[in-house]
Amino acid sequence: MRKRIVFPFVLIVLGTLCLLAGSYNGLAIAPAEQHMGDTQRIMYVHVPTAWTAMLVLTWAFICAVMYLFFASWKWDHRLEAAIEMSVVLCLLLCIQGSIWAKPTWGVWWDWDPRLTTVAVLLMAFAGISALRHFIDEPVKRATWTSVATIIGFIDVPIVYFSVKWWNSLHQQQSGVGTISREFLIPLMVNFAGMLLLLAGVMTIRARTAALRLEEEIAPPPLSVVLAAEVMA
Amino acid sequence: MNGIVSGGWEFVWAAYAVSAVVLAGYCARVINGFFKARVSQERGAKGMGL
Repeated sequence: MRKRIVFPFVLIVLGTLCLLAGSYNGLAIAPAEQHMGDTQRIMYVHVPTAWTAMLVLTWAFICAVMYLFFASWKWDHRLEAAIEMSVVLCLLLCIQGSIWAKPTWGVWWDWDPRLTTVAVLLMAFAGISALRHFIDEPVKRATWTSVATIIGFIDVPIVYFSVKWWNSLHQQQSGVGTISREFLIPLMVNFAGMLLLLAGVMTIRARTAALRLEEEIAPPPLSVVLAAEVMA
Repeated sequence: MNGIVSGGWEFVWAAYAVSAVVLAGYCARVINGFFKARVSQERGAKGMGL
């Protein structure tokens, strides 16, 4: 029975509209920053990516713990979607950061604590994603990736606190109270857009994982069973 | 050198373009994968006589 899914597509459309509005505001309406000039406009896309990456990674951790506790396939499907999305967001974060680093720090990359810990996170989740493709047995695959996700998640608080614990080129986190309104509007609109878009995409990706598993563990077609009986 | 960054619009456009391409590409891949998986499952269900 075909199950209709409309809501995730509505989220994707709303998210895209928010991202377009926020980006227009950030590029054309918001003023240039006093010291970084126009390059600071990268913040309106880089910071929402960082915030959503942290949320998606935390969601992946929750899914992994829930799967290990309840052994329910729905948590494994959500975990698969969250792991893949984490890889995409961490990769994007590294690329955006690198593009911002060149005009402000003078280099594309530096083995700074924040950049290094994010790169480790990218490698860890890319490895977990690869692990899922190597294991054929569904229960073993779900259990191993849940355990690997919990281990990989250890790096998330290290990424967050890296700028406080060590001397870092990367600036410390700014709070909502320390950013003026002109900068805050595009930042929050883009963040809302990223959240809506990713929620929609992850819901569809989890549904795909469910369909693939159903096919993987489904019994053989009736025609094959009947043919086998006739042969016997 | 006065510590103030001037210009840099090419970096801004590059960051936005890369973000748009990566996000749009991934969204398209996920949506395409979903429809492919659904078609494949429907074929399987027909094969089982459901």
